[in-house]
Amino acid sequence: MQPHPLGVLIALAFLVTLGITLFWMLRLPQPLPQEVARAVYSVEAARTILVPILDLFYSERAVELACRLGRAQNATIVLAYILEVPRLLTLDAPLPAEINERAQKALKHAQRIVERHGLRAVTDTVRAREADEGIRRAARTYQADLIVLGVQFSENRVPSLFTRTADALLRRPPCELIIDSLPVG
Amino acid sequence: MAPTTERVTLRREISVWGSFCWGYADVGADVYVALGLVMAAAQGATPLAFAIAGIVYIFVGLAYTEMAAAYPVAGGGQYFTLRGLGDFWGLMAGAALMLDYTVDVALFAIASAGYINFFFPAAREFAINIGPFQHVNLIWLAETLVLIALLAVLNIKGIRESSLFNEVLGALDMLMETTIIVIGFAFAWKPELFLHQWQNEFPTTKQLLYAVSIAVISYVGLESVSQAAQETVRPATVVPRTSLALIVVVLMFALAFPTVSLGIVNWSDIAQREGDPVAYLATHLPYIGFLAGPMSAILAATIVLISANTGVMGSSRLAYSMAELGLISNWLSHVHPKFRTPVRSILFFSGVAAAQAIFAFFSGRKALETMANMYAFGAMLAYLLSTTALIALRIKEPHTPRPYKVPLNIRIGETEIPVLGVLAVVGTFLMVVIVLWTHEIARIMGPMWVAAWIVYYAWYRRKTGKPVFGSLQRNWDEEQLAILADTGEWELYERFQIELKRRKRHSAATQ
Repeated sequence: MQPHPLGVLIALAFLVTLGITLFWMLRLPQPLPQEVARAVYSVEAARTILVPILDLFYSERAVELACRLGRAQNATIVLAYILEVPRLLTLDAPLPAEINERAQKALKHAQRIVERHGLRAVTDTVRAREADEGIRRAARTYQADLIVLGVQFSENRVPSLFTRTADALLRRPPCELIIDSLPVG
Repeated sequence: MAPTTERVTLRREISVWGSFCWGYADVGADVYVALGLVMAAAQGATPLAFAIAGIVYIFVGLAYTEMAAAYPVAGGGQYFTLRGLGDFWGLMAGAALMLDYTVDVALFAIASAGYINFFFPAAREFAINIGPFQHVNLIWLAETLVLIALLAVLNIKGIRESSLFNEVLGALDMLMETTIIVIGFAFAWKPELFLHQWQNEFPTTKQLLYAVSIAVISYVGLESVSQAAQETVRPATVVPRTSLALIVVVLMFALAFPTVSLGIVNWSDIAQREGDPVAYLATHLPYIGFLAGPMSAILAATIVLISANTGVMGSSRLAYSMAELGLISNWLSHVHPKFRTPVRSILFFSGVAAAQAIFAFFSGRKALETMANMYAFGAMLAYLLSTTALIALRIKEPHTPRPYKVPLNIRIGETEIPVLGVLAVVGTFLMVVIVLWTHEIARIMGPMWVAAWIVYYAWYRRKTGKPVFGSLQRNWDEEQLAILADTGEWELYERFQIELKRRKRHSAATQ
């Protein structure tokens, strides 16, 4: 019986394909325990991430962090510049041009960081009496799944806009909240 | 002590190999029977007939993989259809599948007994006349009924024992089939003979279509994986793997057998051995040919018995699912408190299969043809409805986590329409048309079987005060969460929870 090279080739291909298929099938990935799965998917669930911008310098890191958290699920990053309007003025009272300019500049800067990651950025300027109130409103408006807040705590423990806002949000977060702060000093 | 009200459910025992073997056992046996029948019609183009049927099989297989992984419950195509299209269509799919399963049990139990009689020629030749019935082989019939009873007991006792049975025999069968194909190609295959038959023995178009409609039968098996999903460990992980592997492996065997056959022997020789084409092929192999007769008889007897076992398992699980969903009487969904298997549905539908076997023996060869034709009709109708349900479910439940998605999708808003799913609907619809066109008996008996189910369904639903054409109110989201929690598929559970919260928040915001 003279084997034909084509027949031998087909026989080998058959064996190899069968072996690879069964090997792939039998190699199951390890199951995730419920607690681990919850953690994994709570991060994955963040499809809309709100980054409140109180001060550009401290918010930059928060924007970058939000982008990294949202990259896997192609999240939308909402950049909300929070303007605290003094109680002496109405909420929609005209503010000095330089404040608006600073807000626009900060938002553009933050938007560039988001675009570097290939994510969609939504920008907004939110006026509020208190920063935490503005953040809550933005979270509701954009149905944010996660807020990433960049703050700086001062060494002398004097209450600041950052500590006050972080404290208020921590007491009653509108959704999942991450506070990013660099070490003091 | 207060009486316990805890509901008894099916237990999860089937492993990845077990899940694979449920499907492989079913399909493997079909190829043994189909090879001779397809070759008789398709002649030199037999591999082409299997390939055309294989394309439809791939589409249907991918659709089943997606749905079985997303909805790992007993019921398979019937459950998917009900969830996607509503109760009435779910009943139609269930009726079609029940036809397949009961015919499967009867046919393959007869075939298995026939192969056992290879070693007992006197039993095979025995025949008596009983009144108007001529040449009735009561010994063969008794053997068949004993086998059906044996399988029923095995299934009542528990899926673990039954699954182990499948796993061992499935592995042995695959080993032997692989040996035949590899030795055949490597040492006996002649490409010039294959080409000669391809070029000179090509069938007419109608013959080829008829062959395709039979070849499709040889791919009926993926349904079994779906049926066993509710008893499979980690089904959302296991089922996509076993289904995809099954698609590849079954396709390989289905294409390899006719290809190697046509390169070793004449198509007409195989066609004349409709009963044992693989055994005939094996006798022409070098080195192992002298063992081929008895070995292939044992092999065939075991593999067709596994297929019959798959039929018992499938029909009982399908009945369990249909009763659970309010399509048929609840009496059938009772699970045995000790064995945790649907004992009544196993006994009832094994009884239906036994009645079909008796009908076959008392009616002669015509009854077997009728059953084979109805097998094709049932499979294609069920596949048509199931693949339509795939598209409906993509539209109705885009948020359901799908561990596997049919590739090539077109996004319309939130919904992804599967292109291959649409091709599956078109393919199975054409197959139904071909079956009705080429199978004279199926075009009458098949619709009659389905009509009988519809009459029973209408009576049962009216009696119980449920809508006949409408659907019962069901909380699919809650059911889905319960399924995922029960299976321990926590990744999908969490993902689904998050999707539910998002939808809730979205609807609150838009109100």
